[in-house]
Amino acid sequence: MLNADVRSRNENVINSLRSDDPMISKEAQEGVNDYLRLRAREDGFARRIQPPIPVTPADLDRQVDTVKPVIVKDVEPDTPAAYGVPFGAVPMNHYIDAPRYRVMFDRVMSHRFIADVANLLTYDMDIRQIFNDLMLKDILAEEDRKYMAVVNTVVGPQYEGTNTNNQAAVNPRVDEVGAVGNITVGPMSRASLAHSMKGLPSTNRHLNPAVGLINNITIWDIVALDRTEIGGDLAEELFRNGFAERQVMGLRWFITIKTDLVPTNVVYHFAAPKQLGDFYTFEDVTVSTKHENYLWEMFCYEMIGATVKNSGGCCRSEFINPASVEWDDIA
Amino acid sequence: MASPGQNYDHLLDPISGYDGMHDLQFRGSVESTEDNHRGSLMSLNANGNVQPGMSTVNAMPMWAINASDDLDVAGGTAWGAGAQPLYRADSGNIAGQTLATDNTTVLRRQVACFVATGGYELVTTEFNPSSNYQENNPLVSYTVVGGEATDSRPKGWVDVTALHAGETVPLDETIVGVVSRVNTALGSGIRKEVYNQSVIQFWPVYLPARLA
Repeated sequence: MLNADVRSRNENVINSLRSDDPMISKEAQEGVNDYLRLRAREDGFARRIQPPIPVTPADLDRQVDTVKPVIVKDVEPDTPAAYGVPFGAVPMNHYIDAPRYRVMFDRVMSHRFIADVANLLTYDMDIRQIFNDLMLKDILAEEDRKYMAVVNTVVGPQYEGTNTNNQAAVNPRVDEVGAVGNITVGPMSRASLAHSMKGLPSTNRHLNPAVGLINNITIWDIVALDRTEIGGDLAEELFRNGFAERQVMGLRWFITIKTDLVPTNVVYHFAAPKQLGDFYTFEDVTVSTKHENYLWEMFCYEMIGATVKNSGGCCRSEFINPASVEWDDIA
Repeated sequence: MASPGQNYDHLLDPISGYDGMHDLQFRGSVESTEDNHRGSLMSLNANGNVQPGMSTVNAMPMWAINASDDLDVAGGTAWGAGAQPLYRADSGNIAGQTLATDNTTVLRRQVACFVATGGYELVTTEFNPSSNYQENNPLVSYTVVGGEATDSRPKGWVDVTALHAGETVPLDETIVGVVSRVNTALGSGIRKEVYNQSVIQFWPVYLPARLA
């Protein structure tokens, strides 16, 4: 039998949920909230790699043949090389032009969660707020999935030194930036970690990595580096306290629990946001709730547009045997 | 330079029965070798993808809300060997793609569809314009294989057929809809929409074929 106090509190929660007054609705968040957590969830890492920029309708560019919203952006132009000439020579012409591209938008949404309010009354926890939080994290997880789908396309297939993934015919990145983007670097060590850092500088765009993305399992291989590899003070600090967010090799490291998106033994490197791509939020995460008689429902949605436009702006290293191969070993 | 088309050149208009946020829809990835317009008849195939036309003779018909080349559907999928990605205007976009549950397969080009079992009245531009459509005429679509004349029509079109009452096998193709309105002045179910597109108006139904 339900405790009378608990039932009373849940009635208050339900009444708050069903209120049109946002202030009263807010009270629902302060109701009972104790429950057993089964799974760790986290916010999205894509938004940390490429911080979102809110845009308004005024920022959108119109297209003639579609009503879909886009933003058209220019790309830094390339120029033919300068040259030495004998006296009396005049310069050759080169017409000024520059590439541009479209940032497209689509919608990300959660499932719609629906329940009879009578059933909601029987929960001790603030189930609305919990589902609210879970929906938000589900939206951010989907952002990460979409982001990594493109990142994995950009870095290309893995080159292990013996396959043909360093050939332009197999991997378009080779032709574009003059380096492979996905290699094996051998087991984790100071040397292999430093070798992974060469991925972006090895391209013909010579970018430096700004962010390392690693999962919460692989990070322990960095913690396990001993005093001969990382120095006594840091080795002791990591042994005592684990890997709190810190700079290693000049990078910010984002540690994710999404081992399905960032596999174990893998590190992704990303250039600074201005050299990498875009992340626009036209409509940031919005929660829609509705109650009609005794049925109550809610879902989340957002409208975003993001790119990983610079294929020299990210790379992937896997810390496994076969042994390390070179980033610029292209065929 | 070719003149670009208009957004409404191909359309699907659910003129009745559309219940906004609660209507019956199906969402799936368009088969990689296929393309569809808005308003195309779609069906689910053996790969779990949707494709224009009937994948099998008794497939469940659906009508596409999105075109396979809409920017929010196709997104930045133009990547691969050939031209350098930088110079492809749409490469690198995350729109229109995500990872499947195996976290490896990239799902692309997902379109939403109205399912024929829903209670709608639809208007579409995707039909055979050479046929004569009259009230209550049943509509069929085209299968990928077969030897009939209609098989050469663009997949995703609907066409008129005839029901023969009293025959032992009255249906050799799946009925996917019934014409709901005819322009009496023209004597035809083909009418012009506001921007001069030819359209037909129908109720979706699902009456599976009974083969001889």
